[in-house]
Amino acid sequence: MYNPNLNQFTPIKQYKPFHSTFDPCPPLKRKYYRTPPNLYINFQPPNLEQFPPYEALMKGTLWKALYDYYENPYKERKS
Amino acid sequence: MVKQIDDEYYQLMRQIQAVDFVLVELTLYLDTHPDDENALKQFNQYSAYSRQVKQVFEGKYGPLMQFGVSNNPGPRWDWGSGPWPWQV
Amino acid sequence: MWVYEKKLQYPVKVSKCNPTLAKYLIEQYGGADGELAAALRYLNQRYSIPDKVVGLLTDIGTEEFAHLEMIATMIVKLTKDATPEQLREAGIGEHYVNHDSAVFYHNSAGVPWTAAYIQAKGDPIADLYEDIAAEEKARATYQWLIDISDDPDINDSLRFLREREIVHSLRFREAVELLKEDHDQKKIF
Repeated sequence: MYNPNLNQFTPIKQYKPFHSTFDPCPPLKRKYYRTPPNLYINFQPPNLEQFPPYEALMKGTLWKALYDYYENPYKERKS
Repeated sequence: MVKQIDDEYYQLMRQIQAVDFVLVELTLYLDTHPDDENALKQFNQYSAYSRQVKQVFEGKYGPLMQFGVSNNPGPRWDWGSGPWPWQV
Repeated sequence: MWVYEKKLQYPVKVSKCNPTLAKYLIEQYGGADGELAAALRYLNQRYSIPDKVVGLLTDIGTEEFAHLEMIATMIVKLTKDATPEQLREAGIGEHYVNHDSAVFYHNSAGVPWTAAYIQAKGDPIADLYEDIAAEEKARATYQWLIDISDDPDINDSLRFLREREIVHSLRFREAVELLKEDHDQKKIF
């Protein structure tokens, strides 16, 4: 059975889109996409570590291994 | 009639939401892991705890569920009195 | 049957009156990858799928209705007490002339919800793969909503909903694994 080693992946990936000199918008240096933890688990193993109840509610999952905080990756970009 | 919504309402509601969220998560987990005895045990514990907290809440703010799932409607029919969840 | 519970699944707060944001959020109310489509898709697929995954479809489908109520709550709170002028300036004058302040099942561009958004193929694998895709599409929509929103309280609720898509997606993939198993073989972790 697949054993998720959950620290061994990054939940966010990036690539560099081609920018033509004829593209009028200032170039987006990096384009990001998410690869959340569920993609790295085939079938959840038993007894995974849990959040306490209130924290679980706030985070949207009971299981630490499934938690993936999302923030706008382009927030820093001004234009 | 709209009931008085005080700090305790929000506190108790938050407690119920937290406990019930654990139950939602365990339910979905048990749906695909029906043989996990630890999870089932935890589910039963939280299920009992949820009933306890709801009893306290319902005594003060009226029934949470209808069709007789929340027992003891009290001396008067209270279901229709606000506020409703999207209003508070 | 279903029994309603007089509570939101997650506390919804809104920082300020912002009808424009409501216009975006309605994508997850009556849009193709929204909560209504999700709930109806899963609950309807139950009638033609092996028994051992019916419980999961029922429970996730039911949870989607709780999410639908959360989205409605956000929309109601973002537009409550807004004047017709404010609504026009926010770009939802078109909604106002048809619905006043009522919430309705359409997407952020005003296209009404249609059953063509969902499918029940009768093939368990095809249906579950559609469900997995639906969860990932809804996750993406929540990301774009968080990106475009400037309301920290709304984003808090949207993060909760996005995380739920991640959990649901895994459960549907587990359901596929359960259907792939040979009958007499027990699941070994």
